[in-house]
Amino acid sequence: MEPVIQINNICKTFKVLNRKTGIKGAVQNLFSRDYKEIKAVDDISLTINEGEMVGYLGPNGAGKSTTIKVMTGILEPTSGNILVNGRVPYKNRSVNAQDIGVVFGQRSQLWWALPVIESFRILKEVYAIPDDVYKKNMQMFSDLVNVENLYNKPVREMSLGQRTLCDILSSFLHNPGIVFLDEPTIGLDVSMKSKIRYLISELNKEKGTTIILTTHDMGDVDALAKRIIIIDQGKMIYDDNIAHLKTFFGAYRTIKITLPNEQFDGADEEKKAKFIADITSQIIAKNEKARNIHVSLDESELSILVPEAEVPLIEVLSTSQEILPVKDVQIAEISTESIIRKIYEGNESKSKLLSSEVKEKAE
Amino acid sequence: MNSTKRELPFRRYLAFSRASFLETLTFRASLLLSLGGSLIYTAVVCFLWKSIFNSAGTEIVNGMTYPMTLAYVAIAGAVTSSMTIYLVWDIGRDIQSGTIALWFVKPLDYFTMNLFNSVSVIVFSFFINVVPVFILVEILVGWQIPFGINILWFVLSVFLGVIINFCLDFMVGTICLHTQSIWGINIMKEVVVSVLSGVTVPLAFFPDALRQVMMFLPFQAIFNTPLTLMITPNPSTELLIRSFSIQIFWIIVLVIAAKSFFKVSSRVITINGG
Repeated sequence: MEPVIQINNICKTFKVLNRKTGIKGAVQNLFSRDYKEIKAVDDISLTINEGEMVGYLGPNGAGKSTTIKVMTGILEPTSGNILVNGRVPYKNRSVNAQDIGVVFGQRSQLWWALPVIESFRILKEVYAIPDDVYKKNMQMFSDLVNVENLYNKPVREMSLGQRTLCDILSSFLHNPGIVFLDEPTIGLDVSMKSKIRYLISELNKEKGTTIILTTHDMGDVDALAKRIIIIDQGKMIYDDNIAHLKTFFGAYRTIKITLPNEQFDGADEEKKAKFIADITSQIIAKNEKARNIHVSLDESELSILVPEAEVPLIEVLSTSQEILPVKDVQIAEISTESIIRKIYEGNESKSKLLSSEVKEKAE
Repeated sequence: MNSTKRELPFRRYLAFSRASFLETLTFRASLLLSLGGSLIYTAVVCFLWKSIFNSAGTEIVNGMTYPMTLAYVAIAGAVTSSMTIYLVWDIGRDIQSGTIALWFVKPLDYFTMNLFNSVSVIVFSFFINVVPVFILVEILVGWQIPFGINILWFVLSVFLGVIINFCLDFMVGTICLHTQSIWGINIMKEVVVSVLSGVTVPLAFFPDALRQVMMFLPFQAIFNTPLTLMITPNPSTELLIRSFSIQIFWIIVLVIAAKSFFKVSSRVITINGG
């Protein structure tokens, strides 16, 4: 397999004005030369091979979009090397553009006032798509998702889901080697999400398109990505396949305890938070090794995340049974979502472990 | 970039002309309203200039007769309204919302794309606005405006004026990349253009010294040149050559200026993010 994206030690710093607040500060801002530098991307290296489907994750403001913009040629990196399809994207933006497709979930590239088929026709000209390729792709699109009935609908009258569907299709129209999907399922309902996931995965399979997917929806990750890359504060903290992520954190399991319904009728957030804190301290009091458990409450279901390397699950379970009015109990494997959340929330030790491991691999 | 362009010169951009034309047709009401506005404006300037000429007491003021003046001012109004396509706002919005990034990831030149986008709308809007206003003016002045080869020179010259106006608009829009705000600058540009181009008052009415200065600016090449060609029954070859060469000169200068300004300014995006 050929690497289609090759990034070595990319950094991107932005100069941001140190803004002062208030009227006096706002006036000072007009003349201020007081800039600070923000490292949006800090020494990221990665290689993506042809046909891969990569989930690119990170909390808000982690630098995901910046990296995507560097890869698409919109941004010029401050330092480091990047090759996309063997070209430096920011130097050959137009040529690079011919070989990539981009969907920004929150912006549409379709012509607002026109029926969507017109947008497809325009893009056919923009990318100089030959007639036979265009026809073949349109045929494939209608085989995959039944969209012909949408073609004559103006984009502004479409639902968000229909529009996203068409946006994704339009980004595959010119047979790009790489497609960047930036939060494609944002704001969509469950059935539309699954339709879009199906579409993306089929397009990846049938066309062998490399897909870089950024998302906050772990459902997308579970359904689509085999490999995930996590960045936080501009640094790469994880790059491996998704199964590995699960085994790495596999030592975690969650106890889900159903409490009597009436217990939290009308209880406010503050009361719930107090309850959680209370339960946590009680469990820790009885079981010293359990100090890294994480308790959360959803309706009348209490979840306790247990690091099994430190404390046996069964001990926490029996303690909980003593102090809580347990109605039902369930033990769950950790979901991708909670792993990712743990990483985002700055689980320092784990992050460090991961990043040191990444480094080891690099070496 | 250049290699792909050479294969298909401008073909990919024609799709934009077609699309913006279709988009304009979608909004029928706004077309009719713009025509209504042009007709009302014609009626207003008709009465205004009638009273100016009446109070002057002579047939010819500053070398222009009443029918010439009315034709000049009314048609200038109609041409302005067909050229008003809010390009500056569109570019400003693209920049403020970050949508411009979507254009950066397409194999397109932003300047050329916008030019093709605008021209088809303006050409269409020109027929909607200028033809009826021309007929109305002819009725008001009793068919005294010549109708012959001068109309051809006028149309040709308006077309060149459209491109000059486009370049100015594009540059003003590009300023948004630096300022993030476009309102004040655009208002200023509109006032400057409407005064210095001769739309509000024909250039013949300006003091000599000021007129000399204005002749050296690009603004008069947008409106004054085509309108002068229209109301001149038998333009000399010298006038034609001078008019068109000045317009073409400005087009060359402004296209280069607008493209380089945008190229330099887009560094703001590539360096500092959208």
